[in-house]
Amino acid sequence: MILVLDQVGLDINGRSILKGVTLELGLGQHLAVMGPNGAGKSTLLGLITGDAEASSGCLAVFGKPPSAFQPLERAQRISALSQSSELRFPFTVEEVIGLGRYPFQAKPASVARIVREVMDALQLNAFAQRSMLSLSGGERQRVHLARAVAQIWSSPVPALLLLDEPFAALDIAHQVGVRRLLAQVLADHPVSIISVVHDLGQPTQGYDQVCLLTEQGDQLAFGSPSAVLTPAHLSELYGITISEMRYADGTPAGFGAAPAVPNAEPFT
Amino acid sequence: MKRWLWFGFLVFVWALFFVLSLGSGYTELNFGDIWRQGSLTQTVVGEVRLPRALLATLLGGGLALAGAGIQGVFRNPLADPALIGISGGAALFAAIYIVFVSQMGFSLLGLSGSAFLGGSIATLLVLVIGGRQPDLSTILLAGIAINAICLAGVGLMSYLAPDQTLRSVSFWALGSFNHVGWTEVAVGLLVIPAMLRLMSLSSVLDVLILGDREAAHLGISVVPRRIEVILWSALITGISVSLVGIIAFVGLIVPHLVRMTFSAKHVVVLPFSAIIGGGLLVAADLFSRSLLAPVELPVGIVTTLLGAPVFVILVARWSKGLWL
Repeated sequence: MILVLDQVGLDINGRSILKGVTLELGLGQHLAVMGPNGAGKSTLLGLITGDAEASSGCLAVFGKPPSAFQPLERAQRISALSQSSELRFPFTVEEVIGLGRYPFQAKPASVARIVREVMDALQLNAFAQRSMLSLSGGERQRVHLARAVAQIWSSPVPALLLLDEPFAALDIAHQVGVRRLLAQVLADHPVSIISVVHDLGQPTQGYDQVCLLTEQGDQLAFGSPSAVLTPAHLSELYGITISEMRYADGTPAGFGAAPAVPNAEPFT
Repeated sequence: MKRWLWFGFLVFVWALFFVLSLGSGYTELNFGDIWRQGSLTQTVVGEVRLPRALLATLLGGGLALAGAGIQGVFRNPLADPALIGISGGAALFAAIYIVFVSQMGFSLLGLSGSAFLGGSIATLLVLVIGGRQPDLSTILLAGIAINAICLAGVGLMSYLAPDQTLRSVSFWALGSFNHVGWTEVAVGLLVIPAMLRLMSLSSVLDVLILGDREAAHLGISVVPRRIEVILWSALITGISVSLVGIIAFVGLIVPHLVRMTFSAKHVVVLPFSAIIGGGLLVAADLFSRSLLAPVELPVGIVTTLLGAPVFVILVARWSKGLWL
C-alpha cells in the first residue's frame, strides 16, 4: 500500500477538523476526496504531506509517518499542488515547471528534458518562454500542475501526487486535457494520485476510490465510486437533494441538484 | 552564451566608472606622478579615491544582493532594505553603539556588529508585523512604522550624544562616502562572504518565492533557510549602514532591472545585481561629488533621486494590477 490511514483525526485548538478518516491507496490508483467547503479536504492532504501532524489515529505513507522523512527525501516521493499560490516575480513557465525538479538536485540538462516532456503532455509548449505574470488564472494553474507533475515524472520508486482542486479554474476542454494527463501519468509512471475535487458532472470517471468527508470532517464513506457515489450519500453530504442523471440511452451522466420546484408551497 | 557576454559588458561598465572615479575630483592631479612615491597624485588616489571607489563597489554590489535576498524572503519584488526599515534599524543600533558603548572603546567592527543586530531585529519585526503575503501595503506600512521609530531614535541619540561623538543625523539618513579610508574598506570586505553565501542559495530563493507550503513540499526547510537569508542580508545592510549611512533604493531598482532585462532566476539575478549595483554606486558617488563640486552631496540623495521615481512608477503599476 502506498498510503494507509487508520482512524486519523485532527483537532486544532480543541476543535475537531477531521475525524475517523480510514482509507487505503494502492499503487497506480486515483483517489478522489469530495465534500462540502470547509470539510477539511485540503487539511487531509496537508496531513499526508507532513504540513501538519494528525492528533489521533495512524497515518503511513510508503510505510512510515510523513514526519519520519528527511525533507528532500519526502519531496522526491510526495508532490503536492496547493490551491493557487500567488507569484509576483517574472519567472517563465519553463522555469516554474523546472522548480518541480528541485528535490533531485539534478543537472540542468536532465531538468530541461523532463520539463519538455511535461510541457508536451500538458500542451504548454507555446507558453514555455512566457512570464507567469502575463498568464490568466487558469493558465497559471496548469503551470503549477505541470510543476507538481514534473516532481514525480519518471520517478524510479513509487511516488504520490496530491492535487488540491486541479480543475478549479479550468475550462471544460482543459479539464478533459488534465484528466487525460493524469491517466497518462498513472499509466506510465509508478504513481498514485489523490485529488480533491468538487465536480459531480462525471465523478465516476477516472477514479478508483472515492472518499467523502462531511462538513464536520467526518468520513461519510470510502470505497469504489459506484458504491460510494449514490444520491443518498451526496444528498446527505451537501444537505440538498441531489439526484443521479442519465443520458437518454440510460448511461450515467453524473449528479445534479434537483431543480427548484416552481410554485412550491409557500412557507407558513 | 549571450548572457555572459552581457555580464562581461557590465564588468566593463563598472571598470569604466571605477577608473573615472579615480581620475576625477576636486583636487587637480598630474597623473604622470601616479607611480612616484609620496606624490600628491599617489596620495590622493591611493588614500582617498581608491578606497572610496572600492567600498562603493563592495557596498553597491552587496546592497543590491541584500535587496534581492530580502525580496525573495518576503516574496515581494518591491521590498528594499531601506524602505522596509532594515537600514533604519541598523542606523539606530549604530547610533546607540556610538552614544552608549563607544566610551568604553570604539571599534568600527563593533559599530558594524551593532548595526547588523539592529538590522536583523528590524527585519524580523517587519516579518512578524507585515507577514509574507505578496501584498505590498502591509510590508510598506510595517516598514514606515519601523523607519519612523528608528529615525526618531537616531535623532534622539544625536541629542544625547556628547558633541562630535555622533555623526550628524543626515549622515545616517542620506549616506556618504566622504570620510572613507582603508579601515572602512577592510570592514567592508566582510560583505563578500555574505554575498557568496547568498549566491549559493540562489535555487533555494527560487523555490521560496513559490510560497512557504510549496517550498516545504519541494524539500526545503523553510524557516531556517528564510532566517539565514535574512541574517546575511541584514549583515550586508548593517555593515553598509555603519560605514556609509543609509543608501536607499540600490537594493530595489537593481534586482528589478535584472529581472526585467535578463531573468528572474536567482542564479542570474544575484551575480548580475552584484556587478550592476557595484557600478551604480561608484557612478552615484562620482556624480554626488561632481554635480555641485566642490560641495559634495550625500550619495543617498543621488540614489534616492534615481530610485524613488522608479519606485513610484512601480507602485502605480502595482495598484493597477500590473505587477512588474
